[in-house]
Amino acid sequence: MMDNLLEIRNLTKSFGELKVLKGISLSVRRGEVISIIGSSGSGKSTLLRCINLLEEPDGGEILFAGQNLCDPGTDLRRLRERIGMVFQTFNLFHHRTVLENCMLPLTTVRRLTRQEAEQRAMEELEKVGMAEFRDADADNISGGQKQRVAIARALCMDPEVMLFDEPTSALDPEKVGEVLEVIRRLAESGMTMLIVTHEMQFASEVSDRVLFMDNGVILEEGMPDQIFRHPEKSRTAEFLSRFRK
Amino acid sequence: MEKRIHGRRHKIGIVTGLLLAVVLAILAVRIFLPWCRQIAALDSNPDAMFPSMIYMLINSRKLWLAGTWGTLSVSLLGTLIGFVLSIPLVFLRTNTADKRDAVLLRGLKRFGTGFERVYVTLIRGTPMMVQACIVYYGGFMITRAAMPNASITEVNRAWSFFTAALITVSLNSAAYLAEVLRGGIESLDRGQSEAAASLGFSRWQAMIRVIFPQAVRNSLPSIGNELINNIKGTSVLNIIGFVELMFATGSVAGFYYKYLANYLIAAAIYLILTLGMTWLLNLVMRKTGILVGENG
Repeated sequence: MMDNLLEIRNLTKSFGELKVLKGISLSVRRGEVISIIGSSGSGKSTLLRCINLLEEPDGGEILFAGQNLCDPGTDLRRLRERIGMVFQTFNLFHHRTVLENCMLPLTTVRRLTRQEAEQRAMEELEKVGMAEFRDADADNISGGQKQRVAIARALCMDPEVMLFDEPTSALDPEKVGEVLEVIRRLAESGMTMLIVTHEMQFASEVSDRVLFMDNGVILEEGMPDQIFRHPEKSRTAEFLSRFRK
Repeated sequence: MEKRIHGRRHKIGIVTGLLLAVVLAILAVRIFLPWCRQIAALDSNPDAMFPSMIYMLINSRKLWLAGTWGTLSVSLLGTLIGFVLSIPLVFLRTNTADKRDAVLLRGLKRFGTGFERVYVTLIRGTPMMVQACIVYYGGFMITRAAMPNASITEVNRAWSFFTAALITVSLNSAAYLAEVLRGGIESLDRGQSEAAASLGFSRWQAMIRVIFPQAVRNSLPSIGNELINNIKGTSVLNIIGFVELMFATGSVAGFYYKYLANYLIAAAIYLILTLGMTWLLNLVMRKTGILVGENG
């Protein structure tokens, strides 16, 4: 119980009449890599966005390192620093360079000096292979490069968990590999991660556990082998059959 | 090959342009200016329209200059102060209350949003001429109450036409620019503020460091537009006796009993000011890479 970094209990969320999450419960151990698969509209992204309160849940609890995120008294900013997020559309800050994108959170939120921030930012840019693009305008690099910078930017804050919201869905097929490679290395380094993805091959290789979400609930979960080769539910099998050629 | 032809044409264009400029300059210095001097030295205002305009423009140049200066200083300074004021205004508007705020904070935020709405509605719903009168006479009343033993002259000195005019334009521009900025903020994709939030930025930090610079950048053409509008719009300030271009025009026209000619002069000066300002703004935006136009 103690090594559960994240504990979600009976989480519910609606957008107007539409019930998007219908009671999600999930425990994530420190260092665990979890992939969340399922068709569009099944609530995968909403679940991820609830974890750092980009969406305010309607009910249930999210315990992160023992603190209840849904508590009105919780210091959200502190907790968000510890939860890194990578978006489908990168969301790099426009009109700023690659380096500035990584430095801005460090100087603004962490209040590091420019020098310290630059050093820290360069470390992470180095790791994702974007150091040589430090002075490039973040609007003028390829999608794959943008996503690698976005990952570096999130890692600069030393998060304890990383949330990936379809990190390769907006990419050219050619650029998917470079981003998955970075995520794979991060997984191997022992980072706790939740990945919403449609890359089934990648999910099966990198994850400790796979969740199949359907219609606002976790319909099935298990080891990658079990989910991908021997799904118990017919709905899971039906979903996966569309990815087999 | 194509590039060379293009380059040559470009050169020819520059050479003809320069030649034309030199010819015009020589004509102006050798013919037009001496003619103007001659007109200005006449004993009385000539009857023909154009010579008459030249006569009044030169012989009343002090008034024209004072008017132009009044128009320029109040519209430039007013737009600048209005812009500074619009920043907290638009923050009040966009920083809406959410469930996690304490009750008191939620109330304050609601009040702030309401205040901004009412303010913008009042300013946009009334003419600047009326606003100028209210500011001037209201300020006059307050100043007189604050200086009970002062003479009217002293009160007038403390509460000058310029102060009242500048406050009017600043308050007016603040409302319009707040709306412009709000548009700029709402046109940004939500991902920008979500990314900032996910990295631990506070609302204010995200606003100042991420959202605002982009919104201002996107709305720079509209901000420039507000400046141009103010150059023309400050013409209503002559109602409170502030010396700007319209006030100067009225004075000169009254002095010579010539109306059409003087309002034509005013139109020409306004046109020069607005065109010059447009050109200057475009130049600045193109040089800083903010405006990437067809020629940029």
